[in-house]
Amino acid sequence: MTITKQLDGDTLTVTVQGWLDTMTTPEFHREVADLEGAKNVVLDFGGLEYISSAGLRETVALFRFVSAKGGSFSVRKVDHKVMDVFTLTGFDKKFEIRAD
Amino acid sequence: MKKSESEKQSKSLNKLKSLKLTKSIFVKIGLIMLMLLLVLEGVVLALSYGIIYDRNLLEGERDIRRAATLAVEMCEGIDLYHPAKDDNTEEVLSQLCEMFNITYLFAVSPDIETNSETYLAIGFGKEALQEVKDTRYRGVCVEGKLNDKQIEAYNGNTDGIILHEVNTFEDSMVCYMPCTRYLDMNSHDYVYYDKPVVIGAEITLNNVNKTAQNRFRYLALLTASMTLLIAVSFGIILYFRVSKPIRKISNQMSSFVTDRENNKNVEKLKFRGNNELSLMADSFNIMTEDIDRYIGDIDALYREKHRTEAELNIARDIQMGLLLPGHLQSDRYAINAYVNPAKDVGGDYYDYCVMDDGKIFVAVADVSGKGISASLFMARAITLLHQNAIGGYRPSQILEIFNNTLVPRNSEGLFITTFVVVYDPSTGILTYSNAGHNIPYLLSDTLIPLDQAHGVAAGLFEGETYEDATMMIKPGDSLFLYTDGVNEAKNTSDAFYTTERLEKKLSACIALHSADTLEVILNDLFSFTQDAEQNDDITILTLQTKQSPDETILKMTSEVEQLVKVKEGIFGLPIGDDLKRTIYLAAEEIFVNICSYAYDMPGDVIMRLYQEQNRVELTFIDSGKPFDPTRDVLDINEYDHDHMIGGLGRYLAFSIAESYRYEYIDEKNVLQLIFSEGGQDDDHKTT
Repeated sequence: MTITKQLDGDTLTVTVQGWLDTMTTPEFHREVADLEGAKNVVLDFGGLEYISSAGLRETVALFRFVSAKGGSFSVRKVDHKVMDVFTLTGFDKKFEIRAD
Repeated sequence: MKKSESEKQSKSLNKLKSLKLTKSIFVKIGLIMLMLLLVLEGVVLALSYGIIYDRNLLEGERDIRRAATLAVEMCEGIDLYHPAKDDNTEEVLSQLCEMFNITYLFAVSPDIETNSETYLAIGFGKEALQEVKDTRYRGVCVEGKLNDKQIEAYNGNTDGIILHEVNTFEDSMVCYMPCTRYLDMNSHDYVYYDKPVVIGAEITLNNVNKTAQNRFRYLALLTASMTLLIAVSFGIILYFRVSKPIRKISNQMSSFVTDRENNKNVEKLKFRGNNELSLMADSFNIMTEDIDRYIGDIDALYREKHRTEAELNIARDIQMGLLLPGHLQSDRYAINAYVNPAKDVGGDYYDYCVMDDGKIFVAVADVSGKGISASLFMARAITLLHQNAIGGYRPSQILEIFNNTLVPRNSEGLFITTFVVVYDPSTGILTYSNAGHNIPYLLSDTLIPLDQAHGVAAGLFEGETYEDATMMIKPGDSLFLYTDGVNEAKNTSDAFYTTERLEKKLSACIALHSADTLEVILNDLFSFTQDAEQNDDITILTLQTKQSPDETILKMTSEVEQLVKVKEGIFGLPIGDDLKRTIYLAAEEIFVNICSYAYDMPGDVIMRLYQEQNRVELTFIDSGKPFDPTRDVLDINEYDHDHMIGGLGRYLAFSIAESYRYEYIDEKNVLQLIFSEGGQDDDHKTT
């Protein structure tokens, strides 16, 4: 899994590539612990091949953290397999999540 | 059998033909009788010879006595010592000889002192020897000729003493009488001699006897030839009236069966007369009629038996047709079965099928009793059991339904012992239930008797309940089911094969494939029973489990790091990438769950992956705390998305699986999820 962060104004774009599973989620957790002062967060899942409930939990935790501070949160370029997980669990209704 | 009989027959026929005249019992009897007659005749002849001889002797005695008396009277007229010149005493004596048919009449003067006698006169009869006639005896003194009888007569005994002399040369009899005086012509008075004269009348019996002997010879010849004639005619009569008819009867008897077989009419015997033989002939005729009738009856019975046998063969074929083939092979299991009814039709059977959910059902059963009734009951039972098996029930349920269906239509009170097994090849779970059947074996690392869940035989009591016993077995293990025809097989000494011997043999088969195990046991069984008659049906079914080439079995510990192995296993499957990810997602969620809750300390987790084209079975087995993850799965519509308390992973896993099931067996949590390519697109699948 590779994570790259890019700060653009008050929006932080976090690009996650590879697998976000039980093994890699702790690393993702560490990376998003510091939002570098950004208010809004965009998760770029264009390179994400896989997500499990562990990654899902971390994503939702991030969303709750951002929205609690009044920021916007969106997930972009979601692969259909990853999208399935969000849809199944109903989190697609909680925040903006798009395939493009 | 028929052949040997006809051989025997022709043998006896040949024997009869070769029976020589000399060996005929009648010839023997005839000869013995002839000999007996001849001996009897000999004895009679000898006896009569003695009688005639004695009579001759008596006649001779009388003759010589009378001749001697007359000779004495005649001699008293002459002085024998001084005969006249013209004395004719000797002629008179000779006349007397002829008159009485005796041989000699003589007058002698014995001299006792010198033991000599002087012939005074002698007359000859016809029989007298010529040389004696030619000799001049008168006045001749012969010495050493005096005998006691002569001396007695000389001393005055007038009784007429008889001397019978028998020696090699002659058989003669002499009568001695004294002649003490003579009439003196001059004084006309009797003058007594100084030395008395002894008159002897002798008869030679040889001649008398010769006549008699001749008579006897004729008589003997006559009687002998008469006897021979009688014997021969008796023999001829015996031959034609007895021996020949008996031979005829004998011939008829021995050729009776051959004649019948060649469709020749058996000739009726007819003998003249009303004797034992005609009675025998009548009896023979009655007997042939009886035998004809009996053979007819036997033929009918034989045809009937043949027909029944043919029908039984058909029944057997139909019954064997009810059984599935003895072999069923798949990549995860192999079934091998053997059944051999003791009679034409039997009451044993085996059955197997692949249930709707991919589980394997196997069973062996033994109907009480044998023959037609058992086989009919078996035909009904096998259908019922099979129907229930297909329904996907547990063994105990199968038995309960089976039992309840059998009981109401069982007027004969027959029952069935049966052992029912359901094996799940994807989990290795073996479930069985026993209805009064003998204990089968599991051939694993050791020989394990499947002795749990033992219930009552089916078919007797309605509402009977049965239990299930479950255990996990591993690929390579095999199951050995059999009926009591195996352990109760008897050898020629009436000894049983016994379960002990079976167990011993099976223990040696643990490493073998079950098909070979079956062969080893059957060989051992038949080498035990040898030629002994099989007294019960013999049925064996083996179920061999095996690891399919399409199956991956991973042994892990309950640590999250082991997910690498899980991933490798799943991504090694030759299936679409999306399906791999779906399966891995579920696997990850389940495995993490196990790692988190199952054990206090890291324990064993087994993951089995079985892929069949686009269908994948994922099974987790752990020995941790009993926990059914399929219970209380969260309802996503009522889920608190803000707090996210537990169960999300499980929910996710079960949501993406096509189906799932959980069982706690043998102290193990067994969770299985099924995935397929089609099911993967259908995201909102629930079971």
